[in-house]
Amino acid sequence: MAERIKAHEKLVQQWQYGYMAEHPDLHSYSLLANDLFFASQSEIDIPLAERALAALSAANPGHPYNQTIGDRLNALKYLVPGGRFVDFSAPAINGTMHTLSEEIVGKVAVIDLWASWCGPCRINSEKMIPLYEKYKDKGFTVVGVAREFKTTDAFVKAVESDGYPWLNLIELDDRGVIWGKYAASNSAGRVVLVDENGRVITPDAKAEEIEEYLSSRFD
Amino acid sequence: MKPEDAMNRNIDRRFVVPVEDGKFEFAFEGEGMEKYQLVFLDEISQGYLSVSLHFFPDGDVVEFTLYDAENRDKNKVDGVGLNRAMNDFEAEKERLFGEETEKLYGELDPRRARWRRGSRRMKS
Repeated sequence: MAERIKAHEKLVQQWQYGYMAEHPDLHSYSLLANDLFFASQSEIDIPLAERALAALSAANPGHPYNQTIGDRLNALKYLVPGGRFVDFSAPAINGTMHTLSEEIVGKVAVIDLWASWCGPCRINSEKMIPLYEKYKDKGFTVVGVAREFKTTDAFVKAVESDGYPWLNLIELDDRGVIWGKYAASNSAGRVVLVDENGRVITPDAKAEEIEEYLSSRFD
Repeated sequence: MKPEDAMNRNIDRRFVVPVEDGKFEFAFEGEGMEKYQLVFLDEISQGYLSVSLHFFPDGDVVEFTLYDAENRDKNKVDGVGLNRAMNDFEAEKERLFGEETEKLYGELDPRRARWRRGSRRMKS
């Protein structure tokens, strides 16, 4: 049954993408957005979506969907095992800008997208503290970035309370569209483990999986 | 509000429009053409954010015919341009694939088939 449904959905998807090509208007663009934001990663036909995006962005120059949907598609394409992390810049609490690629170059790294208001994110982040302490001198690092809204007060309190020893950056009011770039805009956080070449090991890592990987690499 | 804000639960980024005598009016000014979604304020906390009615502020007038959450499959948006394109698309998709979709999901889970019937008109 699951296979029959999958085949049927594929048929509908193909028809829908054909429709988009014939009608490259904002309604079609919204169909593409809907597909990319709500379908699971395995359901997306990346080449088909790329062709649709090319046609729709060309027909709607300067439209905000070009970036939103482009970022989303990029994340779906690259944030898979073996893909490459997506670079971004964000400020630390003192206002200094940091670029992710410069912070993790040559290291096994965790890119920790979290938020002061996300309990499960913080539990996972706290579990990474002993891993960081154990492996930080062996070529491992963590860069955190917190998605906050309106003020950084809760962020400051959370960092103090949880005691994260690594660099933590701030994504205030989605200014850097970082959650969009990581296909995480409908969630509070995401934890991406990458190797020293920037290749994604796992795009949604639990502390236990990170520990297993670090142990296999460094112990 | 915009669908991406609804998805992110950024419910601060919304226009609140009062309903008086069962009717409402709202003028979009310089907001640019994007898809929006309409949801009753008191239904947000009941989880209806994700199945609200989508529309484009296209043309001089967009008409809504709205029902309560129980009867949301009867909700309707009428207009020209992109709204008409949206309705035409949904009708054609239903004509081509609706019966088979209903049959397959109905075999899988009758409750899911009922949910699809309720939400089909909300999707775009």
